Amino acid sequence: MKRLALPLLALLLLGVALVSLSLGKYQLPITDICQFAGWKIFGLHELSAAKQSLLANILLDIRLPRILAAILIGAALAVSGTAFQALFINPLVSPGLLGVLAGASFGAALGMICAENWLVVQCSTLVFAFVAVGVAVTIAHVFQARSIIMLVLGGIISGAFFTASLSIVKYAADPTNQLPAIVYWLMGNLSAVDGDTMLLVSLPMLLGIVVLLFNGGRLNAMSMGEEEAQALGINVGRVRMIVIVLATLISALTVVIGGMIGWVGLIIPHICRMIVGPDNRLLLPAAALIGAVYLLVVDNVSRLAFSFEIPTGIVTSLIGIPFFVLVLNNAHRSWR
Amino acid sequence: MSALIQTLAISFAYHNRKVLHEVTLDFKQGEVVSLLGPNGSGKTTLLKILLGLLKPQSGSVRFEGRLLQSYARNELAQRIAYVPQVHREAFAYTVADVVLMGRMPYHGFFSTYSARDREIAEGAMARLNILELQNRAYTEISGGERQLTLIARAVAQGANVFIMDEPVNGLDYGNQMRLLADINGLAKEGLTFIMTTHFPDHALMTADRVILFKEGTVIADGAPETTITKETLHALYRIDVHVATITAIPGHTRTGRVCVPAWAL
Repeated sequence: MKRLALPLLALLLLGVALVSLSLGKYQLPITDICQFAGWKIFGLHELSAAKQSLLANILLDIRLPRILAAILIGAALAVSGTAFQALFINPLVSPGLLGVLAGASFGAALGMICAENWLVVQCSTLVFAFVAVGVAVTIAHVFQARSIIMLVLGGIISGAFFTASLSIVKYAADPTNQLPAIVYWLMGNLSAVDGDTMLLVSLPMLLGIVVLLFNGGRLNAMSMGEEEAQALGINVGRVRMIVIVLATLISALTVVIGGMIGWVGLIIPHICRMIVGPDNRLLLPAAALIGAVYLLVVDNVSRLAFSFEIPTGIVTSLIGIPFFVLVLNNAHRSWR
Repeated sequence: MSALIQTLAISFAYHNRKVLHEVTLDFKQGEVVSLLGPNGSGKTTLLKILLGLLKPQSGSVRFEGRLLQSYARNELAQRIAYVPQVHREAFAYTVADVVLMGRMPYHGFFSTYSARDREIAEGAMARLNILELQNRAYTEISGGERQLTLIARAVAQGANVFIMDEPVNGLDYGNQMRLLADINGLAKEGLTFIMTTHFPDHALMTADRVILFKEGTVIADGAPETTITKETLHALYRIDVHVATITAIPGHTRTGRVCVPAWAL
């Protein structure tokens, strides 16, 4: 059963992605999508020019970037949440622990009031995400380099600082246009996703996720405690830095693409642990796939459930929290 | 025969509190060594230095003649295994997964466990008679079973030296005795054991050599019969304990030694 888990989940993701492509204000039957793919990739089928451009516009320009964004954001948040839970030996940890999300929000808001250019906003988001985590890690190093508790405290301090700084930016923002833009951005939304951004961030995100997946065995050992992991031959300091840098990169990029998408990084690892068990070698890839499926489904709800779009970040919480409460009784069996 | 592990005048302090003072010791291949001493006497610190987890502020440690710090982490892990005190973990890994972790030092960044690793892990579990536990959650088995799992992991690690911090701590009497018998069995195969204990009786049962620690220095080092005496136990713990020789166990020719506190007589 566990051997089949990953292939089955990959198939599920493929299916959900296909269905998501067909869903929208303009419904497309899956056969049309297959025809279009067959024509585009293999040169099969004859498609009329009108249909070609219509399908290309809907599928490639509008839906595909958004679906890709949902997949990558869901996978990135779930994987970094899972990795952090093992790294900090605490199942209640989420990707924002070291302040990356607070730093990224501050960076985004600062970019929005300082520059018109969206690329500047995105760069500022990424830079301040790393600054916030850097502050957390530096605080930990100054006081006691190797203690996990100090790292958590550093993250709390850094997160609080950048949350306060975000408030200053909001306070200083022009309340007629800048402030609503910031607030709306922080709700988390995939409707603004564009193909160019996705081209730029997809590769680093995918790389970050894939390299993190290779750390399952080491994270297993590190969640037994630092000294044990070292005695098992692991360079704990180095692996910890690799995981923190990669998790920061991919979490920050989720904010770059879609603002604050909450709860995925906390809920998905628990649900995955119920399905495939706590072994991080299997858990990390399962979390990537289930996180992607979850965010795809949630994003479909947010764009289709009502006549107007609801920000995705709100829906992830609204659907995630009751679901989490339902599974909590089962979930805690794998870690209590 | 030259020593397997040599410490030369090692000293260690946590901040300003000195815990080891110029300790010089040799450990030989195949020895079963018990470190005995009151809380805070420096036994556990010595173990951590031997494992390379702590660096002494002065003095040096050599393993097979080479300075300990010249070994890469995974090289050291292939030679020296750590069996920590029984603990409960946040995540419910299966017993088989925990034992497999012992194969970690044989893998690089991108490689993962092979079928051979799985065989070795199974062999280690079979040796400690915990094969039937392999699919159980590590968090749901008993303390004794958890300690056996950690020992199986050390066996899977392929190490020659086992370093154990109070291996029987928190176990009931039956599990304590079973565990000591298992350690004895592994020791007969030529593995080296260095372990701390709070029980002089356990040292008398299992060790061929006992090192007594007090306030960071070695006050006695040698065979259990010569090191564990009324005088040394008083020096260590400030209580009167008689060490008696038992000869009258029917059907057994060998004698045993036990510690009996004076107040119980």
